[in-house]
Amino acid sequence: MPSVNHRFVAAVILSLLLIIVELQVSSFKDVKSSLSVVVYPIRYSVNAPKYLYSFIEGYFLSRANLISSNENLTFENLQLKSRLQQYHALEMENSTLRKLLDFSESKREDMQIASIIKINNDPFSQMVVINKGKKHGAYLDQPIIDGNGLIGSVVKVTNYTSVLMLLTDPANSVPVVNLRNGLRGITVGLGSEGTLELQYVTNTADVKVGDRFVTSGLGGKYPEGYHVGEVVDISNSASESFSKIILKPIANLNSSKLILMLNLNLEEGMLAE
Amino acid sequence: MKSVPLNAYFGIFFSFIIAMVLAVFPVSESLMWLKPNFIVLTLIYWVLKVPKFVGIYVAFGLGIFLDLLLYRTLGISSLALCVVVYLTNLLRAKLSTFCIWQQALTVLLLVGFYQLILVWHYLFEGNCSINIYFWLTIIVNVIFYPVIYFFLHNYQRFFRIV
Repeated sequence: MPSVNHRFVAAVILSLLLIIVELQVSSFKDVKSSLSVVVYPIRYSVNAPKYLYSFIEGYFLSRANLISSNENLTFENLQLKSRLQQYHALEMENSTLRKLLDFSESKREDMQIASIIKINNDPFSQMVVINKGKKHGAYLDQPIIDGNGLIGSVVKVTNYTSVLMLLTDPANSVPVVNLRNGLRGITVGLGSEGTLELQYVTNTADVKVGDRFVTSGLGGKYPEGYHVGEVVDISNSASESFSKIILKPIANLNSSKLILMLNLNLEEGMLAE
Repeated sequence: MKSVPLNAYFGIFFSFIIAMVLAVFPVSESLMWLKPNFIVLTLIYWVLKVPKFVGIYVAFGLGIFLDLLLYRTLGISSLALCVVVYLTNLLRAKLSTFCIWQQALTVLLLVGFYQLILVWHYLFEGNCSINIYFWLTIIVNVIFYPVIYFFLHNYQRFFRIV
């Protein structure tokens, strides 16, 4: 029986080896996701009471409630459909104009619905787990939105679940553009405060509180047009050449139950010839 | 007599399962630093009480499981837990004679090392949001240790884990 010291050294060496392998060997992710099967029972047992509760709650929902929410949804559906007609027309016009200017076509994205399995990972990173994985077509760097705007992107994929890094994670940066005047910038998350900072915008740039920033499509990761955030605070200091602009995310990062995963077909950026 | 080791293994295994379920139990974002680290505290308790069952190997396996559960770099939690177990083993003789509050203070040291190694994990993620609450959880763990000790002590007697 090896002594404690020997065991400790062996365990430390093995742990370090695992860390190095994971960092250096990219295909190790598949091994890890296959191994992750063993933790599913724990995840399931934590979620089971919640699922049970919402199942029971749904079962006892009153008939009147259901009828009125059905009516509201039908009306909303009708409104959206009528706007969709206009959208189609605009799309055609846009496509024609792009052809005239020799821009390349922008492709439409496929979407897939998913829901957030609310489990805490670590308290100091902005990550959530969603219930679609490799088997459902999720992939790395896949952008995720909800009904209102961009939520984040996929950072890890296992067979049946994925890990989504929220916009507000400091490691997440999104190229954006001001809806009002076309000013471009990059947002970076500020962590658990739940806000974003707009970077590389000079003191003299035209940014006002209330401006909406949407994805610019530059960089190819996030398709253009999705709402990212709204300016809530601008602080200029004379000593620095860049302003500190704080954005509040438009999507409901805390309580989105249902989210959409965008399946990008090779999206081409704008190429002006 | 023959069933005693089996009793012990099941009892300890089950306590770790409970610790893990509690560890991933959803808590609101702002209160998360108040959640004690059940797994580390349970591990420290078992290493102190039954070192022949719970040692470096258990720490390593637990660490791997924890990494898979929390989507961390594989190996980082095992490293952290092995260090904690090794230190606990070194201090074991003195620690068993301490009263509960002195033990809790030593837990400060042990959990401190755990958090320190975990900083490495956050570096891998490229995350700079380690704020003061990251270190304040150590105090929470120290305060909670007597509770865990009390609970597991009765648990140990109940399952007759010697």
